Amino acid sequence: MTTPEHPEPTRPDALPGEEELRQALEGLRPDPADFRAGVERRIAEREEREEGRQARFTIAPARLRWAASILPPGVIGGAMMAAGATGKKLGLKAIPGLMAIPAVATVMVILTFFGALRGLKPAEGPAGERVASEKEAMAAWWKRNRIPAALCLALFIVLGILRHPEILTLVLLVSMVAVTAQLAALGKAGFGDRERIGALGSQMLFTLAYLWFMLRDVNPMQSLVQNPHLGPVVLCLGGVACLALGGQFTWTKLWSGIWHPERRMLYPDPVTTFCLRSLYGGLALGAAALLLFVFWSSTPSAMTLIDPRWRLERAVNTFDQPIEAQSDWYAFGHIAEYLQHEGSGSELCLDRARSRVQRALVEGTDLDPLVLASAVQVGLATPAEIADRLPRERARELLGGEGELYAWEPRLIRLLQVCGEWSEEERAHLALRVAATWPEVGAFGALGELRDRAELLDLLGHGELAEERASEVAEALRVTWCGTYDESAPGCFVQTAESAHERAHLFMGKPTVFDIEPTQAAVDLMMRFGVPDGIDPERVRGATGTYIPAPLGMLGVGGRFRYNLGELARVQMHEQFPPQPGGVFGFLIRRRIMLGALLLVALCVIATARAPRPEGVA
Amino acid sequence: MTGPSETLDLDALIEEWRGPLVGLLAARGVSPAEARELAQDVFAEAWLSRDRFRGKPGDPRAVGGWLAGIARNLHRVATRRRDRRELPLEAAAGAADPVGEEDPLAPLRAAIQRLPERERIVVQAFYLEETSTRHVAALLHLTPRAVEGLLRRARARLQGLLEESVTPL
Repeated sequence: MTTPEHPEPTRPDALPGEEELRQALEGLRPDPADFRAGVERRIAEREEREEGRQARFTIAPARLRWAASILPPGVIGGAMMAAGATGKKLGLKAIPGLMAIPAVATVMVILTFFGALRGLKPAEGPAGERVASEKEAMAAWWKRNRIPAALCLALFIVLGILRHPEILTLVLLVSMVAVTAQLAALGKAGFGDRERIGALGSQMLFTLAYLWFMLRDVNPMQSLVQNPHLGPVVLCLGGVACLALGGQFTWTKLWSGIWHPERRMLYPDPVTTFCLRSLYGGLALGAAALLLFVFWSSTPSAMTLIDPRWRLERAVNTFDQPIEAQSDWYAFGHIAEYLQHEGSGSELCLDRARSRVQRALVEGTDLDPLVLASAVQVGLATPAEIADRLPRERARELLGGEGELYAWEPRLIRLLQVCGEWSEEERAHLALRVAATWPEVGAFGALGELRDRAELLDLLGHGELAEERASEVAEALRVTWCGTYDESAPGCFVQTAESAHERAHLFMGKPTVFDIEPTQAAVDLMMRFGVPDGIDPERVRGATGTYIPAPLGMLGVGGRFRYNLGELARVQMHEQFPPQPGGVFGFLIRRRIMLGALLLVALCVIATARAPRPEGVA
Repeated sequence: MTGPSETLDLDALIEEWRGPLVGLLAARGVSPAEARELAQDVFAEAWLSRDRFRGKPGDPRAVGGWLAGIARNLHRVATRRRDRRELPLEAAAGAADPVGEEDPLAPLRAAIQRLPERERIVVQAFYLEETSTRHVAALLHLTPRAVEGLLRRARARLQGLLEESVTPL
């Protein structure tokens, strides 16, 4: 047996004794009295420091203290928050605090929701304690601010029901700017810390990004911003920047979210564990990943943020659909024709589409007359190359007939016209037949047919016959425009007058993929006949921004290329009906939401950067 | 508000957990002096945030898990600060831990340092002061049996390491 005074030399032939091990570790062993004194000294220092902070907080301006009491729990510390409300009547000084309530209430709804989700999976140890303590703090916040928060949320619901998303967004934006200004003031005064302020800032930015993404068909937002996804992405990047500044993205922190250090293994459910251990980090990563996925999957390059025409040219240059995909080929012909006629100087390179057509011609594949006509018009084939495919028998029948045409006959007329098959007399005869085949106003697909008829008449050199029908065209546009019924909604066009009427009663103001073709046809008609009274081009422009190809299209649902007609409509609206110049003020007004978002991001980043670093415990 | 924190006693807390905590922290690559400082910080932080403790004060599993969480956070912060100062971890760990050349326990100390991290943590947490395997297990989120197994393995490995150290090359 060894004694502490005289330890035996270690014997390699036996297991080390327990006492030997204790002796070996003696150098590490603290002196109990010194250790106790050290703990007490630390406690006293921390208490003194905390008292100092509270004292400073107590003498901080009443306005700041009152506004701080509205902030979500944890931002400036529970004790100080409880001491926040001054009980004094602040008058006008209370305005910044009041302005903060809508944003904070929205954030609190989300936090409470996620808090409830976290509570569903009971966590043991420190994580469980933290969840319980957060729930308690949230309950206290709701108790203290329930009336103003309920009023704000009721206002949001009313604005939603009345469909005033722009007002709702502006209220939130202004409110978030107010919160951020307070955070900056608190941070500058030494209250709160970078981690907490960064977390709240990012929470607000992500909330607004989500709302913006959901309400991206709000007229002023995308009528004046090139890409409607740009706003949410800017906000998300700002949120991630705040979290990074707040120290949420250190490798240690991220790693500790999924790695159990003592067991030296990944947690069994790393994603859930990470969200439980790092709520803000989990939310931020999820939101950023989702938004970036949606953004990048729908717009393949950052270039598209700058120039929607670039994206359209790229889509046409890479068009390589099978010749049987008629709707895509119609869309391709239409877009290519517009880009060639209204060129921006850059040449289209249609080699892929040309080789498809040439192969079909060599192989003798049946081709739709409209596809052939488009191919000739955009230069994929020459009239000589398709001469043996022209339905000359049918042409004679068309010339022999009178009155209305059958549905497919205008296509034949068009094909033969682009191949130069008709004489002047024949064109006059056919133009009369085309004019006689005028679709009924408000009927299904009338806008597309009107556009095709007008184009055909122009092609035949008898555009005056279309001009005579201008009032019918204007009426057809008016009855299928959704904007007639709802002044706050973007003004898309729909397939029938009935649909437009139903939209007004079914809260379906948001344009869908089914509205792409009628809206694009309507834009063509407005370019040809002018904008009828009662239709606001600004709101039509707002609607076209929502047609950027969605991830759904990438999965092949609904024909991906066809969605480019929506993009074409957007380009046409920007080029043919540019926003009215309004000087610097007009520029600022038109971009107010985007500028507000940028301001908010800048404020959040500055507020986080100026806040003091967190003390001791992370 | 009546809560479990009201029955937490600072003296008892320190007495019961000082050894395992200092051992745990020292085994994580900090110097002995820093391990003691950190452990003092852990107790101070635990005491100041005792209102947030939701477990039973008499339950080593609850108290150990809570203290281990605080220790982990503080150790992380300390590591980050040390990284900022660009002081190598090994240098920091060895700076205040001189090994006397004539010390008969020096080979054993050196062997402990050569143990795998998991076993080294258990050995240092358990043998630094009188404590139980339950306490060590609570700090490490293990079962007492697992701690006993690790201790057995560690001692066997130490024997092997010591044999290596006396075998002439």
